[in-house]
Amino acid sequence: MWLIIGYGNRLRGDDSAGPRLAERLSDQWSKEQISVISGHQLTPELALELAAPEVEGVLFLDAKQNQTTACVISQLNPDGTGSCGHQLSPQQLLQLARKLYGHAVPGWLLTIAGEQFSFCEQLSPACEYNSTLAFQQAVNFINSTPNKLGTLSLLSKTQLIHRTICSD
Amino acid sequence: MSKIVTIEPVTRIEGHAKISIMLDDAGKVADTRFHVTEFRGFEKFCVGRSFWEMPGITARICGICPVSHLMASSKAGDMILGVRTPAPAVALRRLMNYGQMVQSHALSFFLLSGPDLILGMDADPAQRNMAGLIATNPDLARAGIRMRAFGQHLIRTLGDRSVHPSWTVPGGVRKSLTAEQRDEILKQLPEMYATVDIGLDLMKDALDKFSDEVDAYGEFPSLFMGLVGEDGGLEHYDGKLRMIDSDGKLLENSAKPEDYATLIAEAEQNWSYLKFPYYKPLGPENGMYRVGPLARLNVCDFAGTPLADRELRQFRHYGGHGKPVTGSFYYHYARLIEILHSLERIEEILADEILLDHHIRSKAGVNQNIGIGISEAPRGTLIHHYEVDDNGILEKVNLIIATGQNNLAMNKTVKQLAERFISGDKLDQGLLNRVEHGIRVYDPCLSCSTHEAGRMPMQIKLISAQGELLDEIQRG
Repeated sequence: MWLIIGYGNRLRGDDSAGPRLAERLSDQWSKEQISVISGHQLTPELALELAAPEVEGVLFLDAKQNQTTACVISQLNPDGTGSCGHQLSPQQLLQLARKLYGHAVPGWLLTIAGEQFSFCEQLSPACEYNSTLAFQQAVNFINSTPNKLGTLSLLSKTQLIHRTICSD
Repeated sequence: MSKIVTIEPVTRIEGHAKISIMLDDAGKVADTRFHVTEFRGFEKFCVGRSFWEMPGITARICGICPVSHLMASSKAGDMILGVRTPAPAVALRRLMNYGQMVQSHALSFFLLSGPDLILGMDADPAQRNMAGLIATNPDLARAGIRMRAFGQHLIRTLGDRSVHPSWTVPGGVRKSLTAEQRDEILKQLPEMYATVDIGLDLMKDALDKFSDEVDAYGEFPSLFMGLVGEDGGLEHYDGKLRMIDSDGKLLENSAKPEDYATLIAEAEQNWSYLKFPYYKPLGPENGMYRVGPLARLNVCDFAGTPLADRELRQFRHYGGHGKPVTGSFYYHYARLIEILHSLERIEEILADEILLDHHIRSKAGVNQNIGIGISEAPRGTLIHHYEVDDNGILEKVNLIIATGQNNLAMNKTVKQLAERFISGDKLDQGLLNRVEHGIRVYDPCLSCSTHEAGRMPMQIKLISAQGELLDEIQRG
């Protein structure tokens, strides 16, 4: 099963692109195939969701400033360093799942280019467009990645490490 | 030559701040400033919106304590409607508020302060974090995460989502609890009680381990303020405001929440966006007060639940002879007692059949033009004050947030630590760690108190009075 986690502040314009995209993706597959979480930020207890035995891959969705391409997928390495506060990075969550619960689940981060992060409840036109591209690419990515992620063979390691999946 | 030491920002708190320590010509600490430098301005941009929107909007001030804003905002809305909130709705709101208390305190104690308490203040900052905690005591990290998840699960069960639920509204709540949901929460309680015991053991070990320096973390006389119930018991949702001094003398015993402005005034400084509230009758010089878990346990006569009361009796030994506990290091201990109390209250509320009553919302229009809602957030007393026109459009919004009310005390704590641990004009990691911890004991939520967003790695600057950069350290 894939776990999709979209996060961002819905009162900060394009910052809401992650949770919005997560919700759009939620009806693309059956409940047995994906689990979707949309939230404000990444908090430590999400490690329990990553550590669920049925979770075989995690796709984080987040908006990003100063990104020149519409959306980018990067494979993440678990990382427990850096300061931990009320919110964590995707890498820290992967590390928590691995170190605390012994579940080395592979993770990717899909970032969506945004340009308007001040107070408003809508996406900017540019981010709206980028989100449409990101939606299609997220669908393609999940459909093209085998369920048993540990046996990935179709994609080379280089492709997985940092794969720009579309450009504006 | 006078110098300024700047620590920017403090990590493992919610939000973004920096600290300046000003040295005099002799190298002694002259003054300290805990700056909060970003501004979100919710009080301004909410003007012109409908008060019905306020629970949803103000909950987004913070991703950690949205429930607290929901409570205070909905209570302010109740007052504008002029209705009696149905008893089942009050019970459900209390239930969510206790869930909030558990999740927030668990995060603060087990995951944010845990690394300091276990690894020590002199540990390498690269290890004195969650990774270090996992390496040293994974069971504690797991227990903390489970407890946090329990609180979030309770909130999500009631509000459909754990962050920014839009469930409580002026006049009541939107949805009740099913018997199945109630039972599902109940069955998790034994594990949570066991986790508090682990925390209490750790806390008592820490009091021994840091016995030489516990009194450096904000040990000074101040006033304390919090809500108490009609019977004087520990209260988190409703009641009256009580203010005591550091000898335990009652200054205010039964102030109505709507009269808060007669108790509190807010000063401002041009170097921080965080306000400086003080007890009005004593003025800004003598009116410093503390809020939050330590203050609540100091102002209440009793907790009102057996396990928490037993622990409260032990806690009060640290004050001695009927006096309040005046060291801010004991905020940690107070948090654990409040978790225990919250679990007992959750169990009590879940056993009450009133929860299954479907009368959960009173409906009305605008009947009063002023609404004031006060509740106890994890970090302390939270006040929402709205003024609306006859159509419910906001004309004035004033939010007094717990972290702001601890602002004077946090500044004084930093000064106390700097006076004790600073040596010469070199930036010492031990000092910086302790100053960070001195702020962290208050578990400040700067997102709420200034309504700001953002965080960044730590930066420390040593600057002369002439503005010359003498030294600089960066973390992260």
